[in-house]
Amino acid sequence: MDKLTKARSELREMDALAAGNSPVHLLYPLSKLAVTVAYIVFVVSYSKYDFSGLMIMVLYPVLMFQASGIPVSLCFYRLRLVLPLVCAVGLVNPILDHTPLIQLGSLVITGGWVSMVTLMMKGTFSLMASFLLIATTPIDSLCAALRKLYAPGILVTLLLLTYRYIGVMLEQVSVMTEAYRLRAPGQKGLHISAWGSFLGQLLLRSMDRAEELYSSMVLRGFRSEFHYAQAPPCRASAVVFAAGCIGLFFLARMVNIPALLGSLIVR
Amino acid sequence: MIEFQNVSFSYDTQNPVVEGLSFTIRKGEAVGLIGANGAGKSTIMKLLLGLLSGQGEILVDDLPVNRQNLPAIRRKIGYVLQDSDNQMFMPTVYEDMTFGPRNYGLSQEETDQRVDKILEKLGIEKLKHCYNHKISGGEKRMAAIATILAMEPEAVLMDEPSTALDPVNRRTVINTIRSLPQTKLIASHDLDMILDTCQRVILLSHGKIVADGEAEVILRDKALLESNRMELPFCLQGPR
Repeated sequence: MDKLTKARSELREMDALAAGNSPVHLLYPLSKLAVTVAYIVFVVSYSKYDFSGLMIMVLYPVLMFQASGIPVSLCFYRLRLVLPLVCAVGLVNPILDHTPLIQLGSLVITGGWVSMVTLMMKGTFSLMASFLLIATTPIDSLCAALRKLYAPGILVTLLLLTYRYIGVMLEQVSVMTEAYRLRAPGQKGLHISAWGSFLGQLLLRSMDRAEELYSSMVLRGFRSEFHYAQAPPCRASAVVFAAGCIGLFFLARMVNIPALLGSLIVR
Repeated sequence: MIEFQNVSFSYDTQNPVVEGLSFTIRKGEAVGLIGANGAGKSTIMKLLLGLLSGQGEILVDDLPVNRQNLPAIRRKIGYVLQDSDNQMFMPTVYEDMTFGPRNYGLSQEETDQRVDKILEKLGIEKLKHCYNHKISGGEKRMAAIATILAMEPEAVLMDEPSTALDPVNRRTVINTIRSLPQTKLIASHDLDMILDTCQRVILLSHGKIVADGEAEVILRDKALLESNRMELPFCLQGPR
């Protein structure tokens, strides 16, 4: 399977994944969205040296992955391209920050190293939570939740159409690459001389296709606002879940639980 | 129900795609639109739906096709696109079928009832929750027709409904078209299908109407068809 076909099938698999029926899938989309946003905000709010305090936050994505039946390994596999970029953000910190922070015998760990690890953890946790949300909530329900939060209709529609358009574009790229390869045997990738025309053709074809799709939508009464699939009813459990999670995040943010547990054991 | 009065359309001033078209389609009539590539078949459909605008007047149930009337007209007319992949943009058949009715203000319950009724009528209940990218070409075509019928249109336009289908799927689509009580306008090169599904045929050439009459008469006129880059339907060609 070539890279493009793989990308297309992965995109479609996300839709299939989101259509599951685990307890996490069945949660009210708006509460999942609210919890995810709150989680990211709390994770990002940790200070750059609060490595130990941040550790406890890994529990939310790990437990939710368990409850949803989605393997954590799948998350790391799907995020294989983004994760290194997120982790790379903190790489310069050890060079810039030489403040001694921890001493382990003769080994001095500087603030740069700690902040690098903290930044990597923040990025990884946030991505895990975002992936969890997307993998357990169909895009339509997610958009409906955004509308319930009064996100502008035009932006939400744009998000939905962009999501759909990625598939259309990947399909076009796949067809064109296949046609190119069949007439360029033994060539690795696309020759630089063909890049211009390839991109031009891709743009024109994608525009044609997008226009057809849009016509099909307009002819069926679409007027810039989607009527999203009906979300499961908002039950008390959804409110309890959201309030409980946000409360626990707040507690974890205020009290350094790993340090507290550590001090209990050491004492 | 549908009336074209001296309708012309061109992308540039020199080469009109359709020119001086006038015809009427009565309620419940099934009309085949035939002609060589570039004769203007798809353009006529797009003009009728207001996706293109040209000169002259087009009326749908006495409503002129203009910006103001487009929502009402598009509610009356369903359009089955040539490429089902362009029509089915939602993840599942069910979601695609609910898209139109929900946009036209039907409640979820009414929409669900309608979806089930159409799926049962077309005999494709098993496709309801299937992913669009996982069903075959024939199933996709049937599902595309179902998405349009779910809007309960008064007229159905179909652009090449039988292309790229195997014989069994083609026959299923033909039988489905025949069973539809709506007014039908079908553009196709598949003259056998047109003969099977339409009582009337409009033959186009270079954007003009060359012949308009009974399907049985026009589709048997070898000289007329051949002079317009077409040939007799296979079923009328006799043994080779």
